[in-house]
Amino acid sequence: MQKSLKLTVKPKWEDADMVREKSYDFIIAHGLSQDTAYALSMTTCELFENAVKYGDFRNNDANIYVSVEVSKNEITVEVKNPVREQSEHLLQLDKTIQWIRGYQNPFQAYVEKLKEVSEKKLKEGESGLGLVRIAYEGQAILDFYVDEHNVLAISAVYQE
Amino acid sequence: MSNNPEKFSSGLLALEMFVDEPSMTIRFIGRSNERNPSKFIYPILSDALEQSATGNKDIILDFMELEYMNSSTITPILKILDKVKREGKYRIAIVYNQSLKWQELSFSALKIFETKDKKISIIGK
Repeated sequence: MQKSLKLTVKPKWEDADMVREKSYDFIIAHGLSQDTAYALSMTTCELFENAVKYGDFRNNDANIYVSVEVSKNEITVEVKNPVREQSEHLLQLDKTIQWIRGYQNPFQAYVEKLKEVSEKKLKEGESGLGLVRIAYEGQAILDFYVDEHNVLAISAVYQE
Repeated sequence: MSNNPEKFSSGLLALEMFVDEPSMTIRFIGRSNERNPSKFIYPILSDALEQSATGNKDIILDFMELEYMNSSTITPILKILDKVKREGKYRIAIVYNQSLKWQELSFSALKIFETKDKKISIIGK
């Protein structure tokens, strides 16, 4: 059986459901529970949605690369997409991941974000909950890097 | 529960509103993965809240048949809970399927918004 699932997807919002379903089926095929498959496919979908929202797709050939890799003790979801150099999103991403790491338990970070979002004005399409939901519900550790071609790679590592 | 619900849909998500004597129930059915789900969900929930206050009814948001929601779907729910908390004239219950781990994790976290006077209740079934 393949150890990894690799998808190359155009930055179209409508494809988020397809990405989620494929990652769910892939994880189920590895004999993991429905709950685990659900959590990881949610993680994949949230990262894909972020890529569509914040990626730099001025070049029409630009794609989003999604991978899900199963190893003995962990499952890694990685989503890559081009970004603008020094974009505000990268600063925000770094800040958010550091903020989540500041909590010993991601549940605490999640409820803090829920309180914050409940009191904020509705902003189109942005909840700010995606990453902290991955840490809490997806039980994953988040990290990211940007390579020399301005490709952002965000990973979420789930440990069994 | 009334037999003819008022139905709303957007993408893969459907909302069905049932009006009964003691309460109004809004059932979330399917998958919510639109880019801006607040645009569809919030006005329906906000109108339902106003109707519930006029008719002196409790309002129930029933997520038992929801298969998936993206994180943006949580925002309109939070905004409604905030409105209930601030304005104090409504009573709302959120009902979810606690046998589904994702629903248990997502919705039990909303217990932080529960109020002692039961204006907001979060109920796992």
